[in-house]
Amino acid sequence: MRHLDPTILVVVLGAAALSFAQPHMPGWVVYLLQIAIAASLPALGCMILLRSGLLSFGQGLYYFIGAYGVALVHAHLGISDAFLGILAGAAASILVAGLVGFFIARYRGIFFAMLTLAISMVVYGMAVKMDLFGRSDGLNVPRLSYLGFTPSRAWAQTSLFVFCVWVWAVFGIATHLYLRSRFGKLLTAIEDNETRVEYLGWSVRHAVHINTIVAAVLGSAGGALAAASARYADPSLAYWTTSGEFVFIVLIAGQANVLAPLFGSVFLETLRTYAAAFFPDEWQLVLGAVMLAIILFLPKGLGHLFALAGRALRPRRATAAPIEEDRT
Amino acid sequence: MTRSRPAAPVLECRGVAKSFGGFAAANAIDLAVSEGEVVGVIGSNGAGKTTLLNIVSGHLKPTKGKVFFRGEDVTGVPSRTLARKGIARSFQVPQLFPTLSALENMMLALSLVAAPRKSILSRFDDADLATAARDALDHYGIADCADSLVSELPQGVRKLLDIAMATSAEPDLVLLDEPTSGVSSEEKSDVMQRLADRFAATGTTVVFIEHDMDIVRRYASRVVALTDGSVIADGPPEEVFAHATVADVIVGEPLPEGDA
Amino acid sequence: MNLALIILVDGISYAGWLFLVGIGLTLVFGVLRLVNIAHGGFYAIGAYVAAYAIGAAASYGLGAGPQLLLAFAGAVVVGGLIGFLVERTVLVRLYDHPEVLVLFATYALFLILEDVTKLVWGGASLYAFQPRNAFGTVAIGSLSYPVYDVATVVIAVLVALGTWFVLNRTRTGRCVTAVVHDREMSAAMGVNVSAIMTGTFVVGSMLGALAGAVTAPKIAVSPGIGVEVIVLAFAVVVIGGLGSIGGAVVGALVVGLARAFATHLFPDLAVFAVYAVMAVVLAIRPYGLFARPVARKI
Repeated sequence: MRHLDPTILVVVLGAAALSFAQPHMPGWVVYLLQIAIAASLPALGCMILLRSGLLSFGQGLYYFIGAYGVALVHAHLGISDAFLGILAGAAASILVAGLVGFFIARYRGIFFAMLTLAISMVVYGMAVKMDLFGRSDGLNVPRLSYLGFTPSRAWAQTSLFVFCVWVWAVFGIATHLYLRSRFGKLLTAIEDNETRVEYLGWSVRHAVHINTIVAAVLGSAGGALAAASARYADPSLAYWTTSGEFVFIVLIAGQANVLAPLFGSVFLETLRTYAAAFFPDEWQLVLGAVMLAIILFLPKGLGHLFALAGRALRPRRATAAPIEEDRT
Repeated sequence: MTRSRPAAPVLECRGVAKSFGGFAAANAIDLAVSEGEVVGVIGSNGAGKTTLLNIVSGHLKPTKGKVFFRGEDVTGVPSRTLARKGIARSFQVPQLFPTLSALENMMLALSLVAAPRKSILSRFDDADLATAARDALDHYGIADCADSLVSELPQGVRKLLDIAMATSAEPDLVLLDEPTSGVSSEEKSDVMQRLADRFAATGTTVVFIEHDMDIVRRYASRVVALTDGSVIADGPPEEVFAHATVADVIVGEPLPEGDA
Repeated sequence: MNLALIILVDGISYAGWLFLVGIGLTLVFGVLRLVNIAHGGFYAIGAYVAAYAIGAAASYGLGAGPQLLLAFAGAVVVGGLIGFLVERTVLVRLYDHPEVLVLFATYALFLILEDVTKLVWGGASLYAFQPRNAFGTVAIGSLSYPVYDVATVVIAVLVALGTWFVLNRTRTGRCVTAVVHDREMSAAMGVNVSAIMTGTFVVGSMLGALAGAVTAPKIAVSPGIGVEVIVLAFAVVVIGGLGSIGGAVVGALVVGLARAFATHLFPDLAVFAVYAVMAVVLAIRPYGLFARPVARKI
């Protein structure tokens, strides 16, 4: 406990390295990484929900809210500050998840998955018809400023990349601390035995509700980064296939450590880049086939993913020594 | 216990009834348990023993009647609230976290119950917590198994772990649902002796359901016999076992002619 | 008065369609215990096959009746074949897996089916309005209503009655009911559970394709029609209680009437009507109107 947690060390060193490497990376790699970083945050939200055995097919809703947080504070308040944009999205998603949580926190399994899906689809259906959200075209997002500092055109790309990297670092470390806390252990225990959790004096529903809100904040942060990178926000962010990609990320990467969704996300974006080059119209087919191949041919690995929730990688002898969580 | 107020019984059921559809699982049960008593509840299968425990522990709402804990009406209060008030319960089938080690199970129980002392957001993997959990396991004599996964533990240890977790908050009232069921006959008296020692040391009030009449005779200070959801006998063990219906229906050894 | 009639007729017509869309989903859930997201894919395939068959039949100069017959038969056969392949090659390996993983596998299948439909028929819309126009309209009170839409309701009723008959009056049906009730027990009693599961999935796929085929003459058949349908179908069967046939009937009627009501009185809210009903029902009865509550034994 006196020495530094390895995950935190990796995140900080990685973020620093990426920040300095940016000017030397080709543009497409920078963009790919930015999008991957953005998508990995809602996937991280899926991951913490899966710790309690809950599969969310609706994280896209918070991705959408985060993206529109940035777009709307600019369109209506004229604010183009990156931090305020993220905060606006996070506040809105706390509100929405707080309300939605009352409804979905009592559902499990298929019901949880399908209800989260239905809720995000309602928002999608609403957004494509509302001028506020720019209908199906969406809204443009300005070039961002950072606490009063507006980078020159030449430095805008670097600034945004560095911002994305460090936003991820902050959320990644916070999530890591959250998962290794007593509450984090409780989340895992919920999948194991809800009855016992209740008889220990804890409300499973409250815990799931809180976790839903935390996952929502992660999703909205990712949405803000995605909108800032793509320079627009549109309703398709709330579409269920967007949410499906977040679950896909967790599916391929495992969920033992907060870094896992980041690697999964980079894998997905790389796959998308190459699939777009070789099979421009069959992206879904490629995605579906890869997913199916993983499910069918790596059942053991995925069994760990979903049923064992990465616990197989934790040491069997729990002692006071720090638990080194490895990535699958 | 510091909270003891001798005036009100620890637990009181007044006319508690529960029916599922048309079937009456409990019929107007009256029961008062005082501080420090160790009450054995006996009855044949379907007599309403577990239903009674489920109602008292907040798992079921009674159809009729009221439950009081230290004079406070707790009818229909959910189990998690009762757990915080000081009613703990163990289960016929131990309710554990099977993918964690025994020590981690205990650590989780302690960190949830003892949350006020340390934030729920503080690190789970903490030396003080681990020490406290090891001590708690030691109280029940199962510290040797601390590092084994729950799924690898023998039934007797699981039963004890289940009870150790339930009682981690030092409750005033402990409800045990067949503490020795599924435990081999060699382990049985060992399990029960450890429990009895532990509860005697803390002065905890205990209500336990048990099928093994020798165990009941040996460890209960009072016995309550249920048949078809009603109390048919209630008193010191020797009195209750001398009751004709109890001997005939529950114990299965009818009293000799004229002895009733 | 007239408005009430319009709402009622629209509502029932929409309910008939919803039932056709939902029945396969709920049947598969009841027996296989999985929510088949690929159901939307079967619906889309059914619609494409039907639109193609109607076009082909029309070019040979066949009338509206034979066009439809060919369309429905073609959709059901193709849907059933693909369903058989999917169950035998993919799902059968996953029955022991956690339900979220199976859910995800059906999602992957859905993505694949969608793109395969696009590869076969291209990205442009297919139109097959001929049969619906050929049948003309019928007077219901003061309304004139397409005969085809009335026929849709009749087909839905026939499918409902047929399903009820098979499940309750045939030996196979009783085996299916037994599997729904308790899979292990049925296997112990000598029911061929694996065959029942394959058969149910094939029938479910056929029903999904049939729903698509019935819908084809009413819409522009284009990529993406399967997606909406899966969400709607889920809403319908969840309201009734997943796995309950009677529940699907009631769910379809409730959603159909609610939507017709909203469409005519509060057009802006039509999108929400379905979800609002679902939210209310689930808030009162968390597992739907007709689902058996699962007791937690401790």
